[in-house]
Amino acid sequence: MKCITDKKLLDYLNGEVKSKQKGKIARHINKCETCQRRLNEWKNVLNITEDLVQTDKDSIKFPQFDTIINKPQIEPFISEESSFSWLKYWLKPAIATAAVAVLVLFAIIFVPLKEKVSVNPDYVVFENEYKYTEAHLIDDEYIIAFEQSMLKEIYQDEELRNKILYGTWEYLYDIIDLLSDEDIKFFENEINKTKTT
Amino acid sequence: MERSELNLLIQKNYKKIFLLSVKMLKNYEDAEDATQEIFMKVYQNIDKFKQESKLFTWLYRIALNHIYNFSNKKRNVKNLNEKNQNFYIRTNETPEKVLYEKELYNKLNEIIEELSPKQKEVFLLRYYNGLKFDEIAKILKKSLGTIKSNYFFAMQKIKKELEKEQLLETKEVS
Repeated sequence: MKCITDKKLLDYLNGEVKSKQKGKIARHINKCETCQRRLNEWKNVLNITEDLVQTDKDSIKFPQFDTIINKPQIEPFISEESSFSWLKYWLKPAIATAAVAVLVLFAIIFVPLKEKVSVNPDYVVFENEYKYTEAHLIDDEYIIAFEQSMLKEIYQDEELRNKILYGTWEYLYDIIDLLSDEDIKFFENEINKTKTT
Repeated sequence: MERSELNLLIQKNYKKIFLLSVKMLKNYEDAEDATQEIFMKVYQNIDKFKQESKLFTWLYRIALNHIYNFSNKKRNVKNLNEKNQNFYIRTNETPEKVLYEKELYNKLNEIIEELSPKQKEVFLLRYYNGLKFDEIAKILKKSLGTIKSNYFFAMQKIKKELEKEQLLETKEVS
């Protein structure tokens, strides 16, 4: 067995070695003079240190326990357990929660919401005779179809047609604006026909 | 945790805490103030004590933290340099022995001051507070190996200093 390190020797002297190792170390020390000398040196160091510490401790004048403990700051803690100890425990979390709640409220109230961007719709919604809601894209094709259907309606409805032709219909000029040149000619022909008849 | 249990613990340990404060702060008045403040902290924070560690370990942790804070605040305050005055002269011993011990005592205090903070901490807890290595490890939240290493290096320094001063030879091995 190799010679024992200083650290191991100290552990051995402080009783910090497992029983198996303890036996090994003891056997080695019995055989090895160098380790024996070193062990004695360490023993000496430990003894002197312990003696000195003890002397130092003896020289210190300890204050009385009462003078340490019976001070106005400490007394209330010793005398009784505060009946509001639960309040002390919950105070900090409660304050933190309240602070967060206030912040959230402020945020809700004072931070302006994003303004809704209004966009003119590119579709028209109306109810048909079956009360279904229909949406159509307003493209050229639709406008043409719409105009044609309106014209067809005007043409088929005699009363409406007469109203338009004889100027009693309130939307006359609006309709005239919508009409193409060909349509106007067509109506003029129709009017002339009726006049002649 | 009952107050009575805590009171008992404090009563048992107040001298040790005071001793630790004295050695760390090197001033009696500061040590007394620090000890008082440590106990006040213990009473104030007892609700925060978790049963994970022993109350005793917790007490020492608070004490050490407070002592470090205290010493940081009061760096400039006078040192405890009345080594000779504090040295307790035992009348039933020969003057030679008293002188010899006085010399050793002064030397020891010098050596303690020369230790690194970690070594000093472990040394004081081991010798002045009489704690076991595993207890020290729990208090300082370090491994047993680290604590033993710190202790070993501290003792090595002490041994070297004692050898240098030729103080070892004069003391007989008991």
